[in-house]
Amino acid sequence: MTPELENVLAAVAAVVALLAVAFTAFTRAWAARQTREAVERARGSKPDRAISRLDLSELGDYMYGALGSIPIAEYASNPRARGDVARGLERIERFLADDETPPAKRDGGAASDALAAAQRALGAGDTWTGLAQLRRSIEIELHQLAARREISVPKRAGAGLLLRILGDGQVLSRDIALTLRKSIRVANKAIHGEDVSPAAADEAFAGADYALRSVRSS
Amino acid sequence: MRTLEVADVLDLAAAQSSDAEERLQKLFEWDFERTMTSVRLLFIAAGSLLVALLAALIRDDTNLEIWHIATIVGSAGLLAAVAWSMLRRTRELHREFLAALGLLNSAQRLGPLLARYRAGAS
Repeated sequence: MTPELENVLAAVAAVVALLAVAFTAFTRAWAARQTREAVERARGSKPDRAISRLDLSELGDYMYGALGSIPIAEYASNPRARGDVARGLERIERFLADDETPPAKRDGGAASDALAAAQRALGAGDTWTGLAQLRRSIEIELHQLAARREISVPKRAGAGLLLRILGDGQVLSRDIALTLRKSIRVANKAIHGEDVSPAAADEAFAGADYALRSVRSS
Repeated sequence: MRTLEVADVLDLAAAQSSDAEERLQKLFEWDFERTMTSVRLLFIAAGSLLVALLAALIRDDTNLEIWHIATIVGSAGLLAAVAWSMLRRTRELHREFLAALGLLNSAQRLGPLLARYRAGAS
């Protein structure tokens, strides 16, 4: 082997090794920065706004955008990141169940507004929003009924829990409770993301509309 | 190399398939294989440099100077260090897999909602 060739080979080996180290260091630093940003984004975001606005698109953006960009390696090793993801998903799960209503709307907001919004959304073919608004209008109306009758209910009780409390207290007639239960069941199905036909959605709306009129006048 | 993210697990949940856990395992196996391929290549490169250096040193007519030897040993060391750091990362994969499995279980309860959002978003 000539000295020139040895020089060249040694230099090539050094360059390759340095490139490998530089590439690894750069990708690690880049990934660490992205991870830091993703964790901060998740920390600074909450699903409450999307839930109180009943906006599926915003809810999905929260799950995929705010929580989704956290690398699994970070999720596994950083308890803070894991806690943020768990809390976010848990919050959405509680919203899907009908035992809790978002704080933003439980006291304020007229049931008739939510009902009108439900009708508009169903008319536009947006079953998810329509039935989510319908469930909210039932929640607001039942909270107001409980207040009128001075029945103690948890502040954040959702439609299902309210119906159980008011039904057990015989504040609601059996027929009305049954009609509302049917509407809530259909709404829950849609809110969970399951398919609900437009006919079933319209029927749930009509039933709830009729029952809520009766609740208002009682 | 793209790392697995929470969104990938959410997508698995959105697919609502009965073999989601197996798919997740497959993703980790691919990740492991990809990393191990890089680790092997880097170790082979480092080893080749050292073997070539040794062969040159054994020969009588060698023209190697001390900076040649230092450069080659240093380069092999750097390559091996990079490979070693990647190898260390594979030790974490088991823990990451278990964490991802837990996340998948939680996300599966939101599966239909995730699917609906995905259907609307695409």
